[in-house]
Amino acid sequence: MNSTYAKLANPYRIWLYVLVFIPMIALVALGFTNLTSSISFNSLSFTLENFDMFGEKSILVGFRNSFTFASITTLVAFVIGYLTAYLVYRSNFNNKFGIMTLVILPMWSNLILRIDALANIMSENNILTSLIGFSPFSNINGTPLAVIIGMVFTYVPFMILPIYTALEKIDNSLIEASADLGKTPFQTFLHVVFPLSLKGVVTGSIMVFLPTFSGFAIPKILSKGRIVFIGNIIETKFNYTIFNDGALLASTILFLIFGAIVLLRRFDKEGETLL
Amino acid sequence: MEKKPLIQLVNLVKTYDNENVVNGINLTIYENEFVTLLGPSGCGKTTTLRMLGGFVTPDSGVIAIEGKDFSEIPAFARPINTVFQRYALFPHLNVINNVAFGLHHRPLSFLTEFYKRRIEKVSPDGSLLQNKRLLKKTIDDFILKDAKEMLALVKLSGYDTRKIDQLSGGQQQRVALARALINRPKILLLDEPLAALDLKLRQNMQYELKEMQRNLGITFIFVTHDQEEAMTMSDRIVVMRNGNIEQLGTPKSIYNEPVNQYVAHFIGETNIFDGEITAKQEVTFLNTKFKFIGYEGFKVGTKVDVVIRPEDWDVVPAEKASIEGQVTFSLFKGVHNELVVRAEDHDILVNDYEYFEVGSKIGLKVDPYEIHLMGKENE
Repeated sequence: MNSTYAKLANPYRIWLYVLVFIPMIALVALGFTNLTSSISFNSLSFTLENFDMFGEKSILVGFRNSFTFASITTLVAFVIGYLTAYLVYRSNFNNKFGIMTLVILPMWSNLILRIDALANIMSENNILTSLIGFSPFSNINGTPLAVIIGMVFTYVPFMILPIYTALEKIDNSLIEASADLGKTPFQTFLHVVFPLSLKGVVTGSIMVFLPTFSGFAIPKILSKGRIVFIGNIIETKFNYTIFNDGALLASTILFLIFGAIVLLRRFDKEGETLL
Repeated sequence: MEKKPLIQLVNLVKTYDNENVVNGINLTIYENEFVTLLGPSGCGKTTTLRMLGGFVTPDSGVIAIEGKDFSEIPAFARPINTVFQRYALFPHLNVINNVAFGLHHRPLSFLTEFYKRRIEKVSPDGSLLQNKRLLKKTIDDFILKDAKEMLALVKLSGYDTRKIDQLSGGQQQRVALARALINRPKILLLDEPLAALDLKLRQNMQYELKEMQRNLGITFIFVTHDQEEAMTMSDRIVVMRNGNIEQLGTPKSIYNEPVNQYVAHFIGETNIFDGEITAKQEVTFLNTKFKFIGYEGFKVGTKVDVVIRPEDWDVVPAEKASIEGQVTFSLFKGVHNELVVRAEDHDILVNDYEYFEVGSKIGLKVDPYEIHLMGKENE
């Protein structure tokens, strides 16, 4: 690489060191200290006591909730997302890219706003009642169903796009070859199309699973605080300035994300389906 | 021996954007024949092949295989397999699973029928048919054995677990061939399968394909734009232009007796002159009278195209020559010399074993039976 061009990367490199790497190392380190309410180097000491937290019931429930809801969301998003991506892929639309833009259109508005709007529709006396006189989901706010609807609604585009990209990459001659070798359209889907789109499914699943697992805004708003995710616990810890516990939990999630990326690289070495 | 018609195409038409890509083709193909559809790109040869394979639905016409109309039957139910232009191997499967794909995931009843004879051999009393699990295992063994045999046939033994992207173009082509042949199709379609290979490999494959077709008793329908390839392998060649069949015949007859200028030019370098029949068995071109043999149908005074292949000209001393000319171009091509001779205001292509320098005067002669005439109305 030409060294002059390499220098062009310096601004970003500095940005990365100062605002990503150093804070991240600090975060991980913080989890192994006794620092709680105030951060000062005078009283700093190393400790593993924070790990006791993983025996607490509330933390375990937080992890369990995060895991259960993230899994269900991923599964539902997979079913809806695969169907959508497959229908667009098989359709005769001239502008499939346009359809995909529509898919990501909701992401152009703020996440919290969208979730607040959903919460409104899911509670009594909502905007639908005033507009059309009735509301089909008027009393699900605060239930697990509301959380799942909210999370699927938010993250399903992250499932659709990589699956669609993977499907689009399948050479049509492979489908013809499968038919030529005696496979019905359904068998072709099962033995050719689906295996070849698996990369997209893995990418999409990780892209849905991770933010739902670590997220805290959606469960907080849509369950009215009744369902606590691990993200909510981290938020609370930091709000109450219990920095070391919060940092340790956050590091745990970082570690999980890192593991997921390693897994992803095994399926999609070239990162083709990552947009 | 009476040949049995296997495929009949009757008035086959395919239209894209109001343009007839295939324009009412009629063609009969016999059992165990090697037929080549030959023509430049856009002549409708690939579309015809794809209609046979079931990937394109004809707008009208009949595709009959052994007398049964297959026009409406989807690709997966036809007794046809295809070797695609770019092979279309499944990237998620290894070599052996690619080869066996046509027999995998089939219903047990289909496979029992497919391996009927071998099952009878293994269990003559039919007891195997009662034991579903053992039957399935036996058939799976047959499939694996067949797949290995096919790989051996295409000289790829031991490549079973290789990934497709670890194979060279020639090897992929062989896998594609094995994958098609394992199904024991009656008809094998080949869509320019050799186009991506280098010359040496292509010549080897041409020879091997021809051998396989003879030994396996399968009808091969081959599409190419390479006239040499068509000449080497085919029993019959179908020369196509603009969705029509221009000429249908053995390689020899098409080479020696093209029906019109288009076929004559397409099938190889040649000389075509304007001529006129000036007497019984005599044609005049290049201001010279030539005797010819055959073509009783042409009346005196008819304008004709005269075709003389470059290798049919003989270079002779002036006193024996029909015409004389000056060499304007001379190129050594290994086996022969390629000459351009200027005579009577025409450039004549001549191939000869002897070398002549540019500028030298030579005499040319052609034997009566090497003069080929084409009616002008054939265009």
